[in-house]
Amino acid sequence: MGLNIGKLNKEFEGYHKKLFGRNYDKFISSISKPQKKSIRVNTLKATKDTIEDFLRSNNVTFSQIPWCDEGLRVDSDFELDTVEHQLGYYYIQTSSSMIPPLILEPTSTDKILDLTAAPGSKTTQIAQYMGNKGTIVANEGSYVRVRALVINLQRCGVSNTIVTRQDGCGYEKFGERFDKVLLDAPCSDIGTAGKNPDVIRRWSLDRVKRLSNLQKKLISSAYECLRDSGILVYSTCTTSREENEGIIEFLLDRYDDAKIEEIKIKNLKTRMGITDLTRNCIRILPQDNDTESYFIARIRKNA
Amino acid sequence: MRRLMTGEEVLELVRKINLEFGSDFNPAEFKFFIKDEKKKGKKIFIYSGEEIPKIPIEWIGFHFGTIHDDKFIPSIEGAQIIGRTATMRILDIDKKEAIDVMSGFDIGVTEEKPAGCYILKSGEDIIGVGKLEGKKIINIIPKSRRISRQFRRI
Repeated sequence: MGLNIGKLNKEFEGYHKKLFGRNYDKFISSISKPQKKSIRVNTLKATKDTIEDFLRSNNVTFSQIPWCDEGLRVDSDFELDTVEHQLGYYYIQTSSSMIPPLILEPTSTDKILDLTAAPGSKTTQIAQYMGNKGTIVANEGSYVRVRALVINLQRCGVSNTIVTRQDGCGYEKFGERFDKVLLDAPCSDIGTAGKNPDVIRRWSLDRVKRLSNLQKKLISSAYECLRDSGILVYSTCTTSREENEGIIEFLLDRYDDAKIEEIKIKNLKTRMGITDLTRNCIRILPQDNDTESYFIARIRKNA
Repeated sequence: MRRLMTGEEVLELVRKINLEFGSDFNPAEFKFFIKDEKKKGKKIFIYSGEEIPKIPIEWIGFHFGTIHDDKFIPSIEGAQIIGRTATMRILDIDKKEAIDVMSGFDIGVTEEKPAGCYILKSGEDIIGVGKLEGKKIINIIPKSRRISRQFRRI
């Protein structure tokens, strides 16, 4: 049964009707249903064949996530906290959150900063693409979330990562410069409404504006941590213009040398950013790929 | 306080590990860090990235194992690395026992073996280490790595 959004939050309903226009109903019916569970095979410890055999031997039906070679959607009844999970053979991760690390295109010689890293799904994915070579700095401000991050890095056997516990705003003060920076920013989380309808209840334009202010500080810091020609990937799992296109426009306005790059991801239906300056950013809508909502931008410094 | 181990310290550690587990562990790709946690022993971390001196480190690489009473006790990840070539101090357990171990339970053994730390292997999977005392393997899997009991699959 679908969520009664109007009853939950009139302000949310009004804003999103205006944002999505005739696509509003499709959007609401897609976010109201729970997403299929998905996992990412941790190739630092296991092969995809091994995990597929493991799923088959437990009579679990699964399918390939089209845009991520290591990603599998699994039967929603299957309890994923297994011995194999605790041994780090796979990571329980939503199919849309596998996309930002793909867009970052990590290589084994990169020095990468993940500015808001906990709980570590994207950090561990980046590490596996780097084959535990190169260097990752994974930052998280909260002590509790650092603990979750460290447990996941340990479980996945990630050896090329340093964890720091610092405020992400002002991280450039350390003077370290990175080839690539991932900023998966804290946001109003509307993408997660399928599993947590509370995010709709909590949504307000005031909250969006507060988050937007934080995101502006974080993206400035992330950008200043880049070396020349470095790549910044900015992402959120939410819908509001103020937290997405608005943040990218802020960055372009503040830094003359920032340029948005085109994003190409195989087998994924995406929509363009909704303002003139942000056409090269992508919006991922739940009704298009059976995923959470996502927004992603790829920016190059000094392009 | 965590510090980088010297080359000599690393060689001594590797010698100790390979002697204890009959392994052929080669540390070439890693830097080793040590943190003395007094009563809990000396924790060893391995790291394959570059050193970044400017930033304050909270955690580095992964926990490889702990030196306690001059014995090296590998973490799950440490056991998975050492276990690739280990020929001694390995105990084979079955699937059900592996689930019990990962749920936090001690398990029994029938074979007589010297007491101490053993790598636990279930089929191709190395699931960590346990401490053999008499005919019982005492569970030392960290709580953060145990599967939720209500979801145990038998």
